[in-house]
Formats: sequence, C-alpha cells, structure tokens
Amino acid sequence: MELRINPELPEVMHIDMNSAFAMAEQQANPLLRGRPVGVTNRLNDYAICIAASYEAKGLGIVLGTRNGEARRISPDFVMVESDAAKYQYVNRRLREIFESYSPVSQMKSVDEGIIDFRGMRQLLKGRSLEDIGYEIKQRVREEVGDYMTVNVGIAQNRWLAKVAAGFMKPDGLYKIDPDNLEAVYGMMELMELPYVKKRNKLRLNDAGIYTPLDFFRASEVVLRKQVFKGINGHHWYLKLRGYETEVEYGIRTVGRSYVLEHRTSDPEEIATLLYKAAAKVARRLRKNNLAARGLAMWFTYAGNLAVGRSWGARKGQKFSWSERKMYKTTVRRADQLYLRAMDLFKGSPRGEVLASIMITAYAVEPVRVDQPTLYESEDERADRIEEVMNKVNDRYGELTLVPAAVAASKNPMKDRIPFGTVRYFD
Amino acid sequence: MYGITSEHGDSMSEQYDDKVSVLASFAPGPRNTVRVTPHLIKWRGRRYRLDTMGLHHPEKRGEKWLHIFSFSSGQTAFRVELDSETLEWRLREVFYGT
Repeated sequence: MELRINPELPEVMHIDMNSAFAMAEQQANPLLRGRPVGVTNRLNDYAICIAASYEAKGLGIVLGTRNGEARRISPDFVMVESDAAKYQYVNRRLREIFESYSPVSQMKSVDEGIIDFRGMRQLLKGRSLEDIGYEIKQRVREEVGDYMTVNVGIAQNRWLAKVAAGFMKPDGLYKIDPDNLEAVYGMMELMELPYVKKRNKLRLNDAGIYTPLDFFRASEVVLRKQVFKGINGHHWYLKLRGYETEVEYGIRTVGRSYVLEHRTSDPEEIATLLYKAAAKVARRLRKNNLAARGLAMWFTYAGNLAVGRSWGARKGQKFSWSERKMYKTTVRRADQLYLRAMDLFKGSPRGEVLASIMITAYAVEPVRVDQPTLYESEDERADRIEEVMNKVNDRYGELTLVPAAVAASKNPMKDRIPFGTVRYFD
Repeated sequence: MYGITSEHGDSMSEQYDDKVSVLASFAPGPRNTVRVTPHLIKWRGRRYRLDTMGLHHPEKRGEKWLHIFSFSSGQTAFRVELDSETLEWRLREVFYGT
C-alpha cells in the first residue's frame, strides 16, 4: 500500500545563504557589489574558486573555476582571498538569529541552518512560519549586513525544507505542503534535488526514473530493492513524502586543513608542519573532551599548479596522496597525534612539493575518566603540560608555545576556510 | 592575508599598516548591540568621507580583540582596524575600484 504524504503541518525551516563567502566579501567591500566575485584560499593565477557570487555564477564561473579562466570569461571578475574571521562572524550572527526563535536550531554548514518548530508551536505565538521567515530575512539585513540575503524554505521535513529554500533563489521564501508538493516536483530536474548527484541520477535512470515526479511516484520496493539496494531506498521513499529521515549525530571527526605559504618537499619541514597541524587537532579534541582512535591524512602537491593542468593530468606525477589508519587505543594529545601522523607520513611519496595538508582524527569518543591514582603517571603529566601550553597559547595566540623541534619552522600555515561543518567555529 | 586581483592579474588592493585618524560615532544598534560607524578617515594628509558602510566584524589575535571596519569612499574601499586595548586605528588595506 502506498504511503500518503505526511499530513503534519510544515514546521521545519531551512535557511540558506547562497554564495555566502562571496556575499560576505561584497558586504564588506561595497565596491564589489554587483560584480562577479570569487573567493579562493590562496591567491595566484591558478587559484581555484571555492565560492562565487551570484553575478559570477550567472556567467558560468563556479566552484572549481580557475582565476585565469574566470578573468577570461569576465574582465570584471575579481578574485578575493578568503578571510575566515569574516565568515566566522557572519556564521555566528546567523546562528544567534536562528537560536532566538527555537532551541532546536542548528547550523548545518557555514551558510545554511535549520530551525525546527516541530512540537514547539507555542513558540510561534500564533504567528505563521512565513511571517517568521520574512522577519528573519529582515533581521539578517539589519543585524548581519544590508547586502546579505537568505533563502527560506518551510516544509514537513529537513530535506523538503532545503528543497523549498532552493526553489526561489535568490532572496526567496517558499513553503512546501501536501497541496503543492507534486507541483514542486513537477517543476524540477532530478539533479536539482538535494543529495541527488550524478551517481544517484544514473541509478535512478537505470530504473526508468527520469524526473522528481517519477522519483516520487516510484514504489518503496523499487527504490529499496532496485535503485538503492538497501535501507537508503526506504529513506528516500519517506523523505520524498515529507517524513523525517535525518538523524542527528554527535561529533564524528575532528580535522584541520591548511594551505602552505611556502611549499616544501623537505621531510623535516613537513614533519614540523605535521606537528603544528596535530597540535591544532589536539586542541579541538580537548575542547570537546574527545579522544580519537583513527587518523587520516591528505596531502596535495604543487605539481598540478606549477604546470597549470588539471588534476592528475601529467603522467607519473603525484597530485594528491591520502592514508588513514585505525589504531587500538584512543589519543588526544598533540605529541600522540603527531607520532601517528608520522607513522602515516612514512608511506607518502617523497620528493613531491607539498601544497596543502589535511589531518583528520576519526572514530572519536568522549574521554573516559579513570579512577584517580595516587601518583601521577607519565601520561597524566604529559596531559597536564599540554593543558598549560594550551592556556598560554589561548592567551598569546596559536602556536606561541611549541616544542623546540617545531619552533625553528618559519613556514606559516593558513587556515583553509571550512566547508561543511561549523562545529568548531568558536 | 587578504588580497584581491584585477582582470590583468595585478593587484587592485594594497596592504598598509598606517596609523590613521578616524571620526566615528557609537550608537545603540538593534538588540543591545552598539553600532560603530567610521564617518571620516584622515590618511596621509587626505580626508575620506564614508559613502557606504560595509561590515564591522571582530577578530581575535591572541588575547587581543580587534574591530575590523570595511567601507567605501567614492571608488576607494578601506579596511581599518580598531585595537580594543590601545584604541588605536590602523589602516590595513585599500582597494581601488577603478
């Protein structure tokens, strides 16, 4: 029997600030407004656009477009180097606005958030969600910046609320309910649906599903057994009908990513950089009272930038390398993470010029509090030293106090602006 | 650091670390905030009047808080910093729109 569309009231709000980084730059510099603007992590001719303004997107300058290519497309194009503090501020102000409406609010990423009013009707004080949505748009202009616009989507579940937010871009507000759900699907392409990328599209096409309406009308059995071959098919079936399928998980990974100011192939220098990265991951872990069993590392090499060719284009030259390992015990101190990073580093290709580093601690879990012992163990002592070092670094700036072996390194690492999660923004 | 390129690949912005005089107003903003507006900036003997306010955002460097103000005056945009400890204004970047 077919499941009917979720009859509950649409009480989930998705707020999406499109082109957030580029818009923040246009907010800050009024002379960039109305111009095609791109944001990159490291400014040079081969710099890749990691965010593009609406004007740039309209010209075909999108995520991944190189600076030189963008300038060929539009002589008016301006590439700006990313400014994490600015985006952090915008993110924080947005979060404050969201939290003032419901305790169940969450930033899903740097530029989008959810306010869930389900079961909290009394918070609305008789107002409609559309009314609140328009108020949020106004508050974003007043409290974040007059150039900042957001898209608001309202629906019965988080996924549909995201669909709704994307339906009337830019600066839109749209509500999806059981009455217009099929009409909305009828207006869209498969790949316009959140989380339907090329691979899912091909899977759906193989089962004769070519439009969102086909997708919506497909039976649960077809989605579960034929298309997704598992529980995902069931989730999609529910999602498309407005039922909630998104479950909240706690922190699962703690990672940092850096672009090197001075690229290097010197193993000793790379080792010091790894320590710096490990120290930052360790601080994040400690702040959240977590420890990790797994460690993953990802390097990108300068080769592709030096020759200006696409990823993996030159035969025999390495462009990226990654490795991960699950260990038996959990760790959280910088020196422990560093030893594991060095363990992984041994397997990386030598002689290549490193352009960026990413270290991610995974399989994280809360730190267990053991029975206190009478005498301090070596481990506890090292833990205490790190805590003190962190306090000094909190006061005088990141990496003020570091082990002697690292202090000699003069290679600064610039924080990559974060994609996706904002869990560690503060 | 912050930087911008033009269509020719040359820089449209220049970095500075100059002390500047700023005439600013401090007024109550929405929801218990204070709205700070730098109306006039005097830099290297010239006065620039604020046309359009861009953004005011804080940035923490070590234990010190800096307030960053971005705004434009004609075809020039400025980024100035107010040190919350010393109350000193510094010009950090100038962007040339044409």
